[in-house]
Amino acid sequence: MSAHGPALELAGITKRFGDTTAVEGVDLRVNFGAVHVLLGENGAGKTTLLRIAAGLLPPDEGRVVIPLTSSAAAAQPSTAGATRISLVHQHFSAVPALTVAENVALGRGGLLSRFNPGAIADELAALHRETGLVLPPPNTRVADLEVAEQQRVEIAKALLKRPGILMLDEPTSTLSPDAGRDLYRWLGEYAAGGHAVVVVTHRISDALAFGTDVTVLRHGRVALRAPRSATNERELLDAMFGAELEFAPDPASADAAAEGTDGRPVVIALRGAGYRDDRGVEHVANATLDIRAGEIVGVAGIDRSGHSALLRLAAGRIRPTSGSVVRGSTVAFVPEDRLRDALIGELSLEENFLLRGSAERRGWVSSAEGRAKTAAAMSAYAVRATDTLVPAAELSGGNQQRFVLSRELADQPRALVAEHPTRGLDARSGGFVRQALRSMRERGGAVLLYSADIDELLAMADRIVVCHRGRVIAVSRDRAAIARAMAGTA
Amino acid sequence: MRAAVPLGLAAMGELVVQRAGVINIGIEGILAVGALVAYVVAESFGPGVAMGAGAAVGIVVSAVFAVLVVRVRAHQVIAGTAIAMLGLGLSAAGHRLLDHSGPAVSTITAVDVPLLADLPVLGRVLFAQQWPFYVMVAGLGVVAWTLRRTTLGVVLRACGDAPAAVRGAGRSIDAVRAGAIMFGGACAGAAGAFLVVGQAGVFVEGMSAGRGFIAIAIVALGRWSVPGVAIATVIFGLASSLQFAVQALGATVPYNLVLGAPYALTLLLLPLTRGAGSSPRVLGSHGE
Amino acid sequence: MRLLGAARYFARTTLPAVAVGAGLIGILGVVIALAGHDAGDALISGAQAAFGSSDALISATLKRATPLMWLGLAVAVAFRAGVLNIGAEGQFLVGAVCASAAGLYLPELPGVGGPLIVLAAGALGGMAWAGSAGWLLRRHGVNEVVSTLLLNLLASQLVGYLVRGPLQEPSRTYPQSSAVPEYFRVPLLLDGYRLHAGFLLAILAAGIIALLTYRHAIGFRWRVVGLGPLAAESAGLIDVGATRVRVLLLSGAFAGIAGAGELAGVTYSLFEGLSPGYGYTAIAVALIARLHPIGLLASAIAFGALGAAGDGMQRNSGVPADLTVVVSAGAILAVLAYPYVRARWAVMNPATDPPATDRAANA
Repeated sequence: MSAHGPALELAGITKRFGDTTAVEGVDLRVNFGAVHVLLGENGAGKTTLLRIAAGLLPPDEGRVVIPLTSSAAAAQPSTAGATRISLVHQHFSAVPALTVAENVALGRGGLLSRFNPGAIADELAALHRETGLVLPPPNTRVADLEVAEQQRVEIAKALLKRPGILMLDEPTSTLSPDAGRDLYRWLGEYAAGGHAVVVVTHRISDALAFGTDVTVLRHGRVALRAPRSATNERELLDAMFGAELEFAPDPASADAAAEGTDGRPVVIALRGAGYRDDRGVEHVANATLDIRAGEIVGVAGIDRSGHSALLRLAAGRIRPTSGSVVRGSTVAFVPEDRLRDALIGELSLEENFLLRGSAERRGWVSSAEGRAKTAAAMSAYAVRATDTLVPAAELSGGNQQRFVLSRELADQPRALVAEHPTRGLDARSGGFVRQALRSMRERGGAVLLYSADIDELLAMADRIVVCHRGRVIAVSRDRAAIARAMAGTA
Repeated sequence: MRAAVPLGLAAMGELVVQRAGVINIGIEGILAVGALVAYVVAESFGPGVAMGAGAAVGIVVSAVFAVLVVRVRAHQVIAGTAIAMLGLGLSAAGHRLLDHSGPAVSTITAVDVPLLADLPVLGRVLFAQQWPFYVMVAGLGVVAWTLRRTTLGVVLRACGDAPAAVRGAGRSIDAVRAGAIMFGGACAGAAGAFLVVGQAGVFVEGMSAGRGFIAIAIVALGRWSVPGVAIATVIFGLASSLQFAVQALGATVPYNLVLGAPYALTLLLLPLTRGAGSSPRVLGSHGE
Repeated sequence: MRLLGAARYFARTTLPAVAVGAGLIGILGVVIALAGHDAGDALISGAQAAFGSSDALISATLKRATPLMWLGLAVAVAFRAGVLNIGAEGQFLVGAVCASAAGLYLPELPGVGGPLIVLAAGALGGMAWAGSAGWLLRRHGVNEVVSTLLLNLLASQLVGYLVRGPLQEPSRTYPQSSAVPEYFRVPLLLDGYRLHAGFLLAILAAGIIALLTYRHAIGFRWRVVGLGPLAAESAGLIDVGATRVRVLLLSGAFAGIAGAGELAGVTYSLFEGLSPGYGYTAIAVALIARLHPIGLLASAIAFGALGAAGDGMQRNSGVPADLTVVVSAGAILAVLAYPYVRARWAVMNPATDPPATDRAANA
């Protein structure tokens, strides 16, 4: 295996989903010995391209060539994916109730073959010696592992297929900064050993710190292609966001930060609030936080840091098991999982609109009134649908999110809690959502915003708190400080 | 112990079905059909073949259920209710149509295991039973081993906990679930057959008497583990035997109260087992 | 547009039910023929027993449809809210037990309607039986499918015990209770026919439930709790657990009324075979009507006719009445398979069935 030869070549790849073009005319060349970073903001087409390269998705146009496997067979994405490339998905696919060894066995061998935990343990040990990947004991249940360990299990599963090319989709999105650094260090060593690594991420810092080659995607096209040594942060930023720099500093938030918001009335007050679920697991401990009129408070935190429960406490969706949460009025809530927590896919938009406040409603439901209100809110938030009777499930993700916002903000609430409201949205919808939050603040509303994207928080929030192991820590609006607090090293 | 055999067989099958993430409450009907078929077959071919015939018809009926829940993705509880009705109706109507109010068929005789049967107390209980009892005990062992120590077992458990991961691993959930359902059907059919050729010697309408439902309760009580199911089966077997003991003693406890006791007992025990062990996470859903 | 929508809705919901019914009668005929009976004769005698005379129609078909209407409502409201109450059978029996006890032991109060007392007693009994499953679900997380199945078995043993013990008729010869006195009986609707007032009350109840389900805030909560419990909780701030327990209680009350009506309007005394599996047939009744309260009135009458026909066939042709249970089961299976078959059909014949969302059916 040559150390620097081409491992994978994509030529003129185009992929459309319905009316939207996810990827258009993309060329990509990945070399052995390199960590190739595929950079782009949410919705830039990174994951689609990765799935095409891995043979999980057929392109509409263009070719996927894997030079080391000969000619015709390699052009068949399905065979290519099966043998040469292993993809580690963004969302873990391990079964929590099974052990590490059982999860490995799940992926291979005939159904009637014996499951031998000892042999798998030996194999994992050999993999560790070979690649340096540190793995948890094979007989631990995956549910009992730390997030970073779970991810290493995913990587081990991928590596056991002995791929020439290892691909990872947003591998650090759920990791603490330290764990992310460790992972990249290992990936670098692994690539240096003669393998090819492709990493999809939206973090410029990761690309600069750990990549050997960088390709930037914007709106489904290649915006920049360069070796790491030949580029810099400014250039990558321009390539990712173009002229319409997404996270332009917001003058209003700078003003608010300068003035301070201390004098404004408190809309949501958490006083030593704690939350344990019915199995006794503590999610939030002793949280004290004021959210005042006319400000956006940003929440940062890695997976399972307790931010999810913190938001639900503030929104009144769960009751604190200790301390208190005082709210002036009902709080509007935009949860992360729209189709599970905010909408009912089978019901019409009208009925979904009526969902808000349905616990309190008395008497007959007037459908004419519901229809008028729904239509008004939808037009105010540019929700595109043929009429108000369309089932919510038929809307695109961006339209669903705009619809949820239109419903939650319809009666001008004084407070809004939003959980990563731009997740999975294209640039336009994301911008729309951010604008809606800002105008809520300008109206004098109080906003609590969680985002997995620190840059988004910095652009939006007047002040930022970090969740770490259920504790709420106030931090300055500074990237490094936030990252340290998220990792618990502040 | 004799009373425990049909419960244990049916519960063993249902355990496998539920570990794969499917709840089949239709086994009540499969028990009934298995009993009728066994009764008809036993007359000409003897009890051994009748047990096999019961299992075979169990596979056939459960295949209908498998098609519905695996292929059509029908609601499992509703499809199961329909299968239960179908089985109970078919067996009752079939019994009348065949006009089979014939004589009692010969039943399976107990086999003493040499030496072991002479052990004090436990010897008679464990080693002087009819052969289906030994099959049941061995079957529980095989199921436990398969679940723990074969790829099939790992995949089956994953089907009940995280079907998406099974699909991600490039395996067919549908095939595994269909196989599990038909194994469960075979067990329930054999359990029904045992009611005739292991116990009564005749077919009586409604002789399944809720044993299929009890088997489902046993699986829940046993927290979806083989040892748990074995213990719960013994408890129910004892409770059922109590009926005969009470009658034999000529006690004044009303018959119906004795019959109802196991149901009440289960209802009271179910809350106690909450939290211990683990139920399959996606039980009853298609796991999309 | 509205009219067209209504016509399409009718085509989507009613026609399949009719087709299923016709198909099942055909299968029934084949099974009867296979069993060596004259299928034509048997089916004709069945049809006569169900529709052949005003007596057959009213005293057999509609009389049998009455408990199925109440039980169908019980199943439909529960399933609508995502509560899998398989226990209508048990709740029916306990409702009958309570009605019998009330009729036999309560004093006659002038000025108060005896039938109302008895029906209320039945409703309370059914609620209590369903409520214990609700309590197990809410407090202890016990799956309602398992608990209601066990409660059915327990209820039938309870009836068996009572009619041989505390509620047995004074001569202690038969395993049944004495008849409830005249004062407590639900009045018959027409002279000479065995159809009691519970029939009209069921239609009234179905109308109320239909209005609640599709037009009222209460019914809106039932529907969202059934379709999207997490969204109902998070976006609607609805207490899903409490809503489900309330629905289960309502469901139990309907089933209990069904049992009380059967006892105080038809049999007057309690005995073991009071329900020929009405509680299970009701699941077919509700599903064929897609849980629609008005639609299930029609399907209850269809299943009432099926039951009457089954009795008639058994009497006249020796064809076992149990085959009607098989037909009910077949009906449920057909309803379950229908969307799949239809989707397959649409794939094979794309021109005949333009893709359109079945909104009305989901609403």
